[in-house]
Amino acid sequence: MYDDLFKTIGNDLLYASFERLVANAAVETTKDLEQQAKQLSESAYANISQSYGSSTDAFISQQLNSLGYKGVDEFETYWLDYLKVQEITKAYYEKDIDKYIASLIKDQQARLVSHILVTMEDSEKPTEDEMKKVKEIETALANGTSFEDVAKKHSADGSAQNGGKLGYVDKNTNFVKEFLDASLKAETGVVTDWVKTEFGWHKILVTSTSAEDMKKDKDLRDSIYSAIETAQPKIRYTIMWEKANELKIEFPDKEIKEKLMKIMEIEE
Amino acid sequence: MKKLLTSLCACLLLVGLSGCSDASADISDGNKVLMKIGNSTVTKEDMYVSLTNYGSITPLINAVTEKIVEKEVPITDDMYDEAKEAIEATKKYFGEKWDEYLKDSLGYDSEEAYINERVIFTVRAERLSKKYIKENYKALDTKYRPMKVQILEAESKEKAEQALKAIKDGATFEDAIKSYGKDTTYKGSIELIHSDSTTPKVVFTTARSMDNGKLSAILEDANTNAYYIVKMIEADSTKFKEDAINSLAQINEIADEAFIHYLTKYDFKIYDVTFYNLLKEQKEEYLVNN
Repeated sequence: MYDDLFKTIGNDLLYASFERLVANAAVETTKDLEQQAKQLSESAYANISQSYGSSTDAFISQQLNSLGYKGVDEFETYWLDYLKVQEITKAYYEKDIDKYIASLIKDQQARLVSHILVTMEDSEKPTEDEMKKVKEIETALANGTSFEDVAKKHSADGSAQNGGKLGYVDKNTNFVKEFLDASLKAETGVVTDWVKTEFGWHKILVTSTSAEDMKKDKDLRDSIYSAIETAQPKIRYTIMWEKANELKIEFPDKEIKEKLMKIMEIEE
Repeated sequence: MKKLLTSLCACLLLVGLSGCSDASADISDGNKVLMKIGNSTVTKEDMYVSLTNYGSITPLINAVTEKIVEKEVPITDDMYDEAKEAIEATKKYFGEKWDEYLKDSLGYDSEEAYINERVIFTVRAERLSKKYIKENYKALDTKYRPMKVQILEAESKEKAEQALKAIKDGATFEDAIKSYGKDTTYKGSIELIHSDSTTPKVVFTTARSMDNGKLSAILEDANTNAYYIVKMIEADSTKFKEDAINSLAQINEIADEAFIHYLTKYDFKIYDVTFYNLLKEQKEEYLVNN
């Protein structure tokens, strides 16, 4: 029965065990990492408990069980392992960050995007008050006020305080279709016409498609790492496999090695 | 060493089980190292602990079902046709990306492997329920009372009366629905209903005492303020037994009843406390021998 179960769910658990083994061999557990893991764990717990209430422990345990952890008591351990894997993958990307950013620009239409939003109940039928805001924004832009300043003063979402900056966007970014399509079509430095979405009307500005700009802004790094992983879903396997070999991993059972390589689609 | 998790004693041999009535049977080679970096290892026992902690009973139920279908539902050629038909809608949905979905999301190298390793199992599991229904048809027929009927739904009594008159004057159900009825649920075609289907209670209760070809009076569902007319097409389900079996097989209660029947037949026992607790929490009725 063990073998039957292993056949059904073993792949996920085998890879999870492999990744934990490699991450823990490659990255030392420091006090700083432990502290970060504790914070992530507490923050995630608080978020999950908003939806799951008294079932939070059971929900987290279920999720952790499916990754090979014993349950909620190992929530911090899960985050510690997560941070270690992040450390390995980030170091891998940073070695060739220029190459990755260039590839994102060329193949994924990477760009930096800002917007100004007028929220509306129904973007097809704006109210008088909503149209008044639209006019104020149009006038301010026409009078030469910078996009950033207009966004700060008038935009109706959280990005306003940063001058409307949404940061890194590419063709895989999870935005509503109308907004993403307009962001990808927009010319750099040219404010678009109003774009209607379920949230209201947007003015969009592509502020840069330059690799240099993307590289120098360290706040964009996490978005860029995510974009690399979205564009190359198997890259994590390659990174962990290379790291495992660097650490001289041994597989006394040849079949396990073959099974793992098949899961990761790695060829020697 | 951990105890082996389950046994389907008597008939089913379990890999690694040293004796099927032995509650303290061990997982074989628990100390075997699967991978190693320096002094850190992952052993077969570590994987076993992960498997028992998995948290969902689905893999266990699937593994047990595989053992049962091996005994009860031999693979036949027509199952491959059924399997191909079963994946057709998904294939169509993914179109050119089907191979990519198969490989990346489902984890199969080819459609053939997916059918052989997964879909055929699903087909066999469905046939297991159908086999149980066939063997217990009389009792299930009495309990669920499958019938073939035509149903017309109207929003007011007045429209229902007009529809009834039109039908009595020779209009088809389809035409009467177009003129006077509401076609969101019933469009006039022949429906297979049973006590577990979503048919309004008043319709089912009335239909079960009707003879073939008979037309009901106007029926009112007091809960929804909707009005119905029902015509009995075939009251004897043995006349459409295959359709009835297919329909009954979709009822969760029957699928559970069937599974429990086979668990009992093969003396299903759980020895592992983790799996025992999971089943007790999620599907206590499957603990047929504990």
